[in-house]
Amino acid sequence: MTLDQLCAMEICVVDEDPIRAERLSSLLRDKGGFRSVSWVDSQESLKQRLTPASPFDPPTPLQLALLSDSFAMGDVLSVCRMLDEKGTTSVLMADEGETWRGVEASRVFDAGAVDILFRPWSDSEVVPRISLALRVHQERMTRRQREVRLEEELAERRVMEARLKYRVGHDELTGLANRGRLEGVLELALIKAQNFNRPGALLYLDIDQFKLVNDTEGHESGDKLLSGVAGILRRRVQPRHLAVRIGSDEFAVLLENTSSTVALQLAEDLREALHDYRFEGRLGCYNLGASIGVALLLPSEKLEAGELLSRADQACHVAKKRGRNRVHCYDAADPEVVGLKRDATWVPMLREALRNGSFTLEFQPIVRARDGACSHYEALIRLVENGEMHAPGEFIPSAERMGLIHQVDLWVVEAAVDRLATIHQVDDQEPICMSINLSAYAFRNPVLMPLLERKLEMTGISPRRLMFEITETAAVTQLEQTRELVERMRTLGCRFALDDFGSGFATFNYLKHFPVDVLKIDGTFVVNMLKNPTDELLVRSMVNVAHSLDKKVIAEFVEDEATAVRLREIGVDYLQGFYLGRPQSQIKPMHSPAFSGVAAAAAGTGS
Amino acid sequence: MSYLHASDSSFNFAPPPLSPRDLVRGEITLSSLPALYHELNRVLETPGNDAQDAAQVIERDPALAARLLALTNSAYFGLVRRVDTVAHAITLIGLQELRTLVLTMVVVEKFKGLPNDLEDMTSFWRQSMVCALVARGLSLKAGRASTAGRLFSAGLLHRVGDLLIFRRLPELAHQAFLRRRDNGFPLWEAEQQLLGLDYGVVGAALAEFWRFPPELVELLAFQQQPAKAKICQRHCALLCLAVNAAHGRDVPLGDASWRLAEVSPQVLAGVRVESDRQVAEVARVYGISC
Repeated sequence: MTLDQLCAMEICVVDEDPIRAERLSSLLRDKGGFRSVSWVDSQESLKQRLTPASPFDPPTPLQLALLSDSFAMGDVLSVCRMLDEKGTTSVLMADEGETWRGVEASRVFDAGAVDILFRPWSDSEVVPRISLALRVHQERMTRRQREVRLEEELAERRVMEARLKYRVGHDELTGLANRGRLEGVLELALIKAQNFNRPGALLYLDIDQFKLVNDTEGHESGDKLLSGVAGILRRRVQPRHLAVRIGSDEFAVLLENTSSTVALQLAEDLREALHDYRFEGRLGCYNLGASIGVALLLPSEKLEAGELLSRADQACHVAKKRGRNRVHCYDAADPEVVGLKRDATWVPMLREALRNGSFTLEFQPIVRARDGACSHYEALIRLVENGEMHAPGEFIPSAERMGLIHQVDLWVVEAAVDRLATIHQVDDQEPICMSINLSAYAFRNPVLMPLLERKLEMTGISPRRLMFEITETAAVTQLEQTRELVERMRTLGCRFALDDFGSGFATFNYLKHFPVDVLKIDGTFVVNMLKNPTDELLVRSMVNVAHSLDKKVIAEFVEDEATAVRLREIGVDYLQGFYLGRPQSQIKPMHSPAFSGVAAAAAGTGS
Repeated sequence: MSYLHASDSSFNFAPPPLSPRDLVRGEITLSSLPALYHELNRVLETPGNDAQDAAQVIERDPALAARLLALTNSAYFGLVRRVDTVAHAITLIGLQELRTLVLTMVVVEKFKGLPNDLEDMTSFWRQSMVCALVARGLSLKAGRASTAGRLFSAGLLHRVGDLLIFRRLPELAHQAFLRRRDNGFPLWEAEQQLLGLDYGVVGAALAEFWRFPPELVELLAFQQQPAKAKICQRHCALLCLAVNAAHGRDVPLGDASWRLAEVSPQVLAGVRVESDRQVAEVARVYGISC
């Protein structure tokens, strides 16, 4: 604080003796340099001095009041207090004597005074003491302002915290609790269920028509729909339970201390209420529906919050699969759940495999029946996980369901062509060919053809050496699209085979127009052929049909010599099976020792 | 060991929950009343001051003086002769009632223009005005003419806490509103569940901050639970009936309020009809459109 500021402060002398007051005032003005020193002669005029002219004006400032003790002691104290409340510091002026000593003095200080000046005083002493009092006043005000501000800030913070806490736990659009809040509450509910024997249930709701409304009417209508759904939940769900919006069109309701029958009843009620709800959009009216999954919190079961949530989610998934607008209670034995679980374990492994290349190929020889020559191999994908090898039958269904199949197809094509390119070609031998299996979804893969073309160009491999296989069922169910793919591949120069031929028991009629080169007879006919005349008959007729349409035939699952011999007699062109060679990681060009004739075969059964 | 214990507990610091005071404190511009009200308070508290002194203070605000005269001449007081000086009006009203009337005028003046997305302010003030008139009517019927003014003020300001809640905790207020709409809870109960406080206690905190008479603070605080009141249980009960009537809710006959208020449902029904007649005029005096 500068001296100038100090001198500008308002000082008021309160003394009914005008001469005394005047002497002090002029002393302060002349010696102290204080510019605004005023004088009032009574308590009343002091109050008036402090009261603003109009009630809406700010109070008139007064920093320091010099009070003469000429009125009764109680009055002095109350005036001190009153001044203190208004932010004025007071200094008491008293005659030298026994009053205002000890306890009395301390009461004056308690009331807010900062100093007592005893008359008669020396002029030289007064000025510094008044200066000091003003400085103390300044300190006090600063401290008070800080305290007030601090308190304001704390209050403000608590209000903000309350709002923030609310926002963190709630969904902005619907005002329902959000997923984070549910997880917290779920933990508690599980503990209650287990320790206090309070059963409960978690409902997981998926609004069936939401996507339709959102896509055709726009997000605004979608949001309105969600608010409507939230309103239904709020009305139907007691406040002691928790209604949650998990995300987009998924909601959940946590029912605590509720028996399973009541929970299922409520789920049914909710389903009905949502089914009855008609949403008025801009373009028309929509009837909603909800698939509701129920997971029970049973006291007997120890569960994690995440597990319970995923159970409810899975049950909801099952409800959706089974036709929507229904309630389904979680059951670990549901086939949909089992499939989901398998997917859940396979998907991360598949992703990992696609990233790190833990897929590998094995090659099974396909032998020409006529002379046992082997220049053709089928490439078979394997997934290696911790040294364990998984066959495609285990993970391909999951890959198909979870949309990873395209990438798997691409990987197989790329890896097989690469492998083919590394094989050293001996001039006088037939070039090695390779069969590559494609999934039923391959024709939907826009990248597959460009990749194949590029690969062939880069490696310089003749397309004749590639043969693609697709299962008969996949081909027949999407005949047109598959034909297109087959034609494009054949235009490129690749060959095409129908895998598992005969297993679909489809009519052979389509074959007339289906441009494949090879039919691969389903192994199940081949395995029992020798024991079952019907199977043999079927194989014969398939071979006849194929040959009459000018297509080659491969028989798989050839597991013993007798079958091989019989198949050759029937006229099958190529043979494949454990008898002729198991799938292996290396391609070894060979003249199959097992099939150089009956005698040689008899000698080489150990292969 | 004791040292450890002490430090443990000091680390175990949990922020105190949101209190009604917090809502009042942060919003200093909204929470502060014009100096006039405090000055009037001071004049009235000083022994020996009379209507003339109070009139001097009020006449410094011409708008307030006009309002006070309009109110005195309205059907609300039902005087035969026309009153045309503030001092005369004050003599008729009485100094104590004057204080609460001026108080409500000042508060309503302060809050009536407050914008708000959560509730239609016209119906908000209409509801408050109905509540005020019913509370006053009940008080007169119950033979408590001396406190009619106080009950009127309490009724008019019974939801003043909500204005603060709406402004400072809009999301939570909205949620409470939804809970009332969808679950059928009374608003104050929905607020208690969600905020841990309701418009009553916030209003009481505000009243305390403004240094309203302690009876008025208690009326606001316990307007829904008169049995908890300490100073003026019966008035609280009367206010409780008025509030519920204004909110369109029937208080079940077995409720403690009826017993504490010592009035019958028939009386309430009569007062209700009468208040409907007065509401437009008195609202006009307060500058509220409804």
